[in-house]
Amino acid sequence: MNVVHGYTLLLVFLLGTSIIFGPPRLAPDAWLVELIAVVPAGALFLLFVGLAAAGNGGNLFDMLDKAWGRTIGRMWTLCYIVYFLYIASRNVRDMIELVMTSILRATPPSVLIFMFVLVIAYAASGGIAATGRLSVLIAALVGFFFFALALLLVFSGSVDTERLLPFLSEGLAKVLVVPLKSSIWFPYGELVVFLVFCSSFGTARTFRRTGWLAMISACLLLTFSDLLQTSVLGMENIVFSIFPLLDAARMISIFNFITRLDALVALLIILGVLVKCAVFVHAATIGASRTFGRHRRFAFSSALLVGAFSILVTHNNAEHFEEGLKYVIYWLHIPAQLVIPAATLMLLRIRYRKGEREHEPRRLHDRLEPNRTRRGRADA
Amino acid sequence: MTALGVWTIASMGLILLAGLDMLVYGESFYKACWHLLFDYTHVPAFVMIGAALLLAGWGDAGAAVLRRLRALRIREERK
Repeated sequence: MNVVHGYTLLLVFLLGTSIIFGPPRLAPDAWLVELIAVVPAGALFLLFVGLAAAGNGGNLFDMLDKAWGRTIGRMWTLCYIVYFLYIASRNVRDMIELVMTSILRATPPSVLIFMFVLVIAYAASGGIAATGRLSVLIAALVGFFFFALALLLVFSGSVDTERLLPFLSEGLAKVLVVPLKSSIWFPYGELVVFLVFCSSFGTARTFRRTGWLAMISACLLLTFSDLLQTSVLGMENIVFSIFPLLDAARMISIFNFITRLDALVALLIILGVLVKCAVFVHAATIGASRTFGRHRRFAFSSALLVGAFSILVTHNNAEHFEEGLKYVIYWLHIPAQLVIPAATLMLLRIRYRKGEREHEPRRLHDRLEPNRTRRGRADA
Repeated sequence: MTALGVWTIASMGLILLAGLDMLVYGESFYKACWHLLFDYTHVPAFVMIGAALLLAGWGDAGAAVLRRLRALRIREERK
């Protein structure tokens, strides 16, 4: 996978659903939260890069086995498989809620989910390189549609920059704390899934550079999206809006001719979720095939499990948001994105110190001449 | 092995969902599992899980048949 494919894959992955929902409205200046969040998110990403470098070309599951041993490593692998499928199912649920709200109101959600997971399964079975190539096209489409929406909002006179005021009405402290509560874990922390594919990026250095570039680009785009949403809807209305970009798109009316551009927003989220879920399902497939064998057959089964979980995950939208903002962050995201990777890195550093290779199989001439040192001199 | 893997992952996923329901609604694990499993709106989800298991099992059965045929062919060639 070349640098461009890697960059667009990471960018579309980060934008995914975030461009539609924006950060949680825990602080009034959501756009500033988005801008500040890239700093702690960058620190978290450095942890992932450190793990990729310590893994010596292996993927996340190899690192877990090396650090924790075979039994506990396989247990963590299973936990990560379920975690990736759960996050994919939440994304599918987000997409389905928006699509059913905006365009396909009468279609049963199960039908939509089933058809969508088949597409995800096909995308995931093609491999990460194919998803990377697809993401180039999707990034172009997402960029085009998003900037088209922005321009149309400006031309329709819906944008009023005074709606961004008052600035820092609840102080700077709240704005600094909110990224640690939410934005760092979603969407930036989800980059942990790319530890499964870090060898596809080449070296850890390439992974770091591509990741940094994608994070900064995503941060700027998401900040712009939040500024746009706030200047169209206003701070009071945006708090009560479930899909702010969708509500903003509904304000577009140019000469009463160009109206009702909900479908553009639905297309944005469909494309973003397609790439995100394909990445998560492919990662889960790799983990499952490593644990149970036989790679390709898991792709369709994993995608069907994602569909099933997306129906079971919550009963309604309110529960979906509460679960995502409160419980999932503390019980899933923080352990999977911070605690386990940090512990794994620490264990790898302790067990496989630089220059020393523990558990390396002894070479033939070591067995023939047990007194010969590594530098080739026989001991006296 | 594929079917076993899918069954394991599905079970762990259902336990995770029940656990999150426990946290959100403050109910016991038994009640959370009951609401998850015995809700008619969840039938499509269990149909999908069944389809995933069937797909995985079909693949395993097919692989087993192919292995058996290969073993028979090798035995014939050795004769």
